[in-house]
Amino acid sequence: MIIFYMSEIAISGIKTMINEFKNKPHWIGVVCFCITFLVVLGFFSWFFFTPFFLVFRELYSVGLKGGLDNFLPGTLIAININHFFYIIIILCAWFSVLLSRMLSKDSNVKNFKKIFAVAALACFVVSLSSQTSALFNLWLRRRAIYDGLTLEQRLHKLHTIFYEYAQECKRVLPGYHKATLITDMNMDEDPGMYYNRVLSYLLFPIDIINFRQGPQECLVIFDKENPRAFVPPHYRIIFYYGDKCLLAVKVKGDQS
Amino acid sequence: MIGSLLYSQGLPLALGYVLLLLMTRDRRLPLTLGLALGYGLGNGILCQWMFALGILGIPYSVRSIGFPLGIVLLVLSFTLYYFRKTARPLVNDDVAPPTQAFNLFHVGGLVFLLWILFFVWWNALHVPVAAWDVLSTHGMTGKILFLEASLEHRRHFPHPSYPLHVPFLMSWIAFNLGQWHEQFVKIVSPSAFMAWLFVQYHFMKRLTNAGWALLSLLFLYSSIAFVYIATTGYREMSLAFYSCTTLVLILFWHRNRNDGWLYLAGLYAGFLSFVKTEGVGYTFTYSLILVFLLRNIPLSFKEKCVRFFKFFMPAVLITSVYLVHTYFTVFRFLPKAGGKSFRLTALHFEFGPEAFARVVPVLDRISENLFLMGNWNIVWLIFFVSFIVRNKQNRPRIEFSAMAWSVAIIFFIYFIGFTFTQHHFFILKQEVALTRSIIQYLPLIVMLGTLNFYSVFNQK
Repeated sequence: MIIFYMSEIAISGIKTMINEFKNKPHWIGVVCFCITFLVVLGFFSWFFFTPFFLVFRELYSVGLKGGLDNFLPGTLIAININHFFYIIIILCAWFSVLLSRMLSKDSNVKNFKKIFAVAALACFVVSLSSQTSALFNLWLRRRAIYDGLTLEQRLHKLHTIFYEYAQECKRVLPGYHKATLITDMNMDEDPGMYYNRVLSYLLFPIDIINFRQGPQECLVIFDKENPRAFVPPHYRIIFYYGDKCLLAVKVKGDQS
Repeated sequence: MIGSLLYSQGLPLALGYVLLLLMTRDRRLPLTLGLALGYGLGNGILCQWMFALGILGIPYSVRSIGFPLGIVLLVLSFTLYYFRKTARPLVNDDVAPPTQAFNLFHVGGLVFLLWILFFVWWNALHVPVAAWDVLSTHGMTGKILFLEASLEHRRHFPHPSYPLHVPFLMSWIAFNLGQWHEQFVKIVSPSAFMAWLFVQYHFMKRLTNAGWALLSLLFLYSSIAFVYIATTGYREMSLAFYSCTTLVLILFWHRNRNDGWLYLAGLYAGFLSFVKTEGVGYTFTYSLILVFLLRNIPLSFKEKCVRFFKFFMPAVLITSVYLVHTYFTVFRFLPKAGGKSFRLTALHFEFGPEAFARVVPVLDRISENLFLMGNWNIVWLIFFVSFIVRNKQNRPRIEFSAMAWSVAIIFFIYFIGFTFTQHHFFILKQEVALTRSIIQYLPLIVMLGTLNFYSVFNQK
């Protein structure tokens, strides 16, 4: 008897809900997305023999790789996470057509558009939350590296020996000086190309980019095997940095 | 140091804001929109002033740059005070947007926006200059401008033909701080990022309502490439801000026919070419859009021409001064390049079979970037979905068409550039240019998508 009454209540509840939903395609869109999302997640879980909650957790532990020129796509069980969302949206479109037909025969297109739009926006919100968690993780990693450091320490952390060497050069040789860079780095391709830019930037006003015309005043020898061998006789070495780097200046009075 | 930093940002901001109020005489201009537009205007004027000082051979210093601007600010403030008593808005603006109750979506959206702003500012101010282009071009140029305090050796700058807007702003900050500060010089891009936030919000709010305006910002800031580039000091953020704001100002003008907006759009278009050379292409695009808009306005031919030149003249004037100076100080001294040699500053078109064979690979790269990389979240798919569900009748027609045509023209220009010139190298061999070019017009894309979705739920 009790079961009979309870099922009566449940059926009337569902009927009321359907009647309510008929006037609120927004909610149907949300339900459409939720069901599709769970089905696709479940399929991934079954297909890759991975527990459901682990797949869900992986969705929110996607890392950010790359940067500036291109961020690499995150992966969900070794699959491009974009594909995961694309599958959901395509299924949502199909599901929206079915639901809009069930709702009413008069305004199929109108209902379909609303249901599909809400489902797509709901998918966007989940994707946004996944990426926000990735951005938050990036911030945590950056925070662990840079927080609490002085500007000098941060520069040192970022540019390592380039910064150390450039600072030492500028300390022993302040002001503008035209210089030539001698190095073993291959400056025609990365990473040498980038390092060359870093060194030019950090060294300035010691000028290795040929900014002003005029005679050379010093030699910047960086990352070069046996650097002493490349110092001409009319130059004087004013400091060494490790085995491969030094700074030499032209002896005054020498016009060669 | 913080005081000097605030002064370096506050002076151009105040100058731009006061001038903006004088130009538009719009009493109902929201404060945040006014400040955002004032930021762009003030910084643009500051850079043009520094350029003029450089041409005249006057050495840069806080005094030589800031003092005259301070005087101008005072004079403009007095003028504004006088005109505020007498002036009325030239033409009434459109009806106020419908108000909306504050709901859970607004709270969530605001929390997200605050987090993004926090991330951008934190990253910009905690990680020193490290990005390639900042080190090799505009950061280096800014450092040279700061240490040399003149434009005397411009032709020996790294990439000397590159426009000087961002290097000038960086060196202005350094002049005020008295040192080249590796973190604070980067605030140029987060500032532009924040300024665009307010412009987009108010523009979308005028077309829709606060909720949809907020959603458009969520779309934009879900693109990690857009957010991240604002932390690095790259010029793309300034370019995106000036470019999209130019179009928004033209559309403001179209709505209320206050010619002040048109002058302002002209100035912004001029500054645009001073941020990056691509700015010339954007100015051309927006000039075309203005011509299309003028076609449908009931004005005489002469009046249409006058309106057009109110936009075109400031843009062309600023652009041509820069181009003429660049010709006489840089290009004249460059050795002549052969037909096939690679040079960044000149375009070599080729339309042979080899060039046409690049069409498919280039399109392939573009679609891969838009849909399969991690740069844009799923914004591009959502954009296409929005076209499936849209309802043509229920969206602001003129604004939508103007933005859609702008995107189409800009995309076409880039596509031609990436396929039929030597710049295909940056797409097919190195993937360095595509993401950054998309960033420049991404705000228009997300606004179009939002208007499409708005049309579904705003059915009359």
